[in-house]
Amino acid sequence: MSPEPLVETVALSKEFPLPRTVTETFHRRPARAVHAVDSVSLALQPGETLGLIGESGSGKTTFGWLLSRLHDATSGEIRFDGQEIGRLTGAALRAWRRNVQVVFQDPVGSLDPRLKVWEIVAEPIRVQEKLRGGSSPSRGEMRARVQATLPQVGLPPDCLDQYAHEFSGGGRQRISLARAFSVDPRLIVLDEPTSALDVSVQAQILNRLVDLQRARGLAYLLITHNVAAVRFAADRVAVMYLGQVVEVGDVRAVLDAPVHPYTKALIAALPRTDPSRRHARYRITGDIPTLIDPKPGCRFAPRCPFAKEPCRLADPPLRPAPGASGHLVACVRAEEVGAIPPSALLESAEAPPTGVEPAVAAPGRPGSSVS
Amino acid sequence: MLRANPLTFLGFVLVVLLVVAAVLVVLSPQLLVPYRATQETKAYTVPPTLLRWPPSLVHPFGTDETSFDLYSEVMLALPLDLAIGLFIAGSALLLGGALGLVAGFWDRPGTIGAVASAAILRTTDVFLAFPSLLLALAIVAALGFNLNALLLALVLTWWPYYVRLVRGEVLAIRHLPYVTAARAAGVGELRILGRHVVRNLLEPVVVYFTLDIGTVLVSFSTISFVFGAAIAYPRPPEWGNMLSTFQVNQPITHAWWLIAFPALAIFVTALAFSLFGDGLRDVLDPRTRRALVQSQGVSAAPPPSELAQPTGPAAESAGGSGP
Repeated sequence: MSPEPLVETVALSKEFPLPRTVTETFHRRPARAVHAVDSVSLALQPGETLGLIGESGSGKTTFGWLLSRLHDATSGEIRFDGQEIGRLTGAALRAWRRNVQVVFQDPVGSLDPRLKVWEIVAEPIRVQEKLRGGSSPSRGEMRARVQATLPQVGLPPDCLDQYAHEFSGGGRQRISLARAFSVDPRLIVLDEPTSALDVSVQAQILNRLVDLQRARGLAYLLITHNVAAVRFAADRVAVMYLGQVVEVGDVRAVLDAPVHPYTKALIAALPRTDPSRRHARYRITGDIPTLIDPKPGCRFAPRCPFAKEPCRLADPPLRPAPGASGHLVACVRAEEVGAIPPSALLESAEAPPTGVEPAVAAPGRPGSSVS
Repeated sequence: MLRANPLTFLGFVLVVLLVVAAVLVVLSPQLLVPYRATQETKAYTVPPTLLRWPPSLVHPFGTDETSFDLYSEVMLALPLDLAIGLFIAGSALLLGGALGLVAGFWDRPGTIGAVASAAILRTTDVFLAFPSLLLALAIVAALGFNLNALLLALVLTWWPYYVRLVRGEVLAIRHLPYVTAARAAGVGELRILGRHVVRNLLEPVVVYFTLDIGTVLVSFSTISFVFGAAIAYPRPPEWGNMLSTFQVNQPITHAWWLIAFPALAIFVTALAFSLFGDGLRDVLDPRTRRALVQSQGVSAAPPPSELAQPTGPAAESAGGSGP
């Protein structure tokens, strides 16, 4: 890794406190909290795409929101360009925001239904110009600037005065991209940018994103369920489980030779075109456990077929995976289980090895706020 | 564009007619009001049994028991009733709407806003816990029956609904991604509130407001009806009050027009604002507005597409099914 990351988080955590229940108040117990993101340390190089995968409720989106300062972290640090930005407030924070933009999953809700395309795209430009003390550009100037940016995201330049509802899902997502790119950010947090689109449009949007990245040299945090999208667009990938990063490394290394049992399960769970293997799935049994005040120890241990006593004692640190540089994994038994390919686990699904069944029943899903 | 929906058009025309008529009645009454309220009509000279004349060419709505021209009376009440409806609904909208914005937008736990919004909402709950009409009646009973007391009573019972309505809309809108995106772009909170939140809640609130004018009139008339019979002559020209008096003094079987025409006036006004409100909803929303324009033959540019040629490796990669 190069020494100067664009953005770096150090033990970044976000807890959402739950309202105190009557019993807790009565017994004077402290309120419980949802640990959506639990001491995550990740770094993004300039111009790099980091994929962030994991199932719903693993804290991917919350992490993206922390990076873009849409949530305030409970603890930990975010350094942008070597500067701590976790404590920026007021006008300084608003001015900093031009560096990081966000694209959301929902193509309908992402765009104000009362604004025309040019107004949507012009708003960030106008606000940031004002924050920099410059004079606000005139209406005509602004329209011209927006018109010039529209072809870059694949929109016709003559749709300035249309409303968002007149576009298809892909068209709307392009408007979102145009808005995000309008202030020339250095990082864009892509929160499931293609999940709501149909497959051919997904490909167009991803291609467009990759082209724009090459042209402008900005970094992406690509949050998605779609492993294929990560494989196509990302340089590195981080796998999250219950608010923690369990494995991070180059896309090829992590997706082709996963070390962590959870990553193996995730890869093995992908649907296959090979009909002979269609029913042989390596399944993780049980629901994702609760994020409310998790117990120490590996978060995946209750569902892990390889879990042993040391796994349940302390949080496993993120450490270099055996035999690969820049590939980190948080598994105590990485050396022993790392070599087992996911496909081997597929066969064993027929006759599960002892200990596959989860030791702890899932006590229910966490709130949707962390998904 | 209003012509696209005949009912909307009717509502719009009715509201314009009502407002124009009300203004005329105030500015130059002789145009629309043939007999002043205090002026006795020619009917007074006929034998007392004919004092309640049924509708005729001279007196289109008939005359009442003191031989006043009912048409004049109904028209004279128009400006007052419209003003009452607009004033009460408008005051409730401004007061309740402002409080609703505060309660909906600044309610992050641990801030002053959270305390303020809790106070606003609990006060609202207290008012909503009373049946509003009974509360208004009680206030009027306590203050004595006059116009000011009635207005105060209705505004006091009306605003909590706007708090609830506006707060609900704010809560729904402020978590939409476009609000978050605006925040991520560095847009200030007040500007987010004005440009993204208020503009998007304006449509349901304005529609509710116009529908509400009719409801206010009916409620005002009801209270006026309850207390109205106790009022000594000369009666203030107000539709609810007329209904009340005539209903007591003139059984509907003997002089149906005395009940029918003031009631019709209330009905038409309430209906006009209801239809107008419906139409306003369509006009205010860019989605249906564009549809209305299109139905008149102006077509919007087709949405862009670069379909049909999925390019590059992503075509298979994103669509394919994994490693």
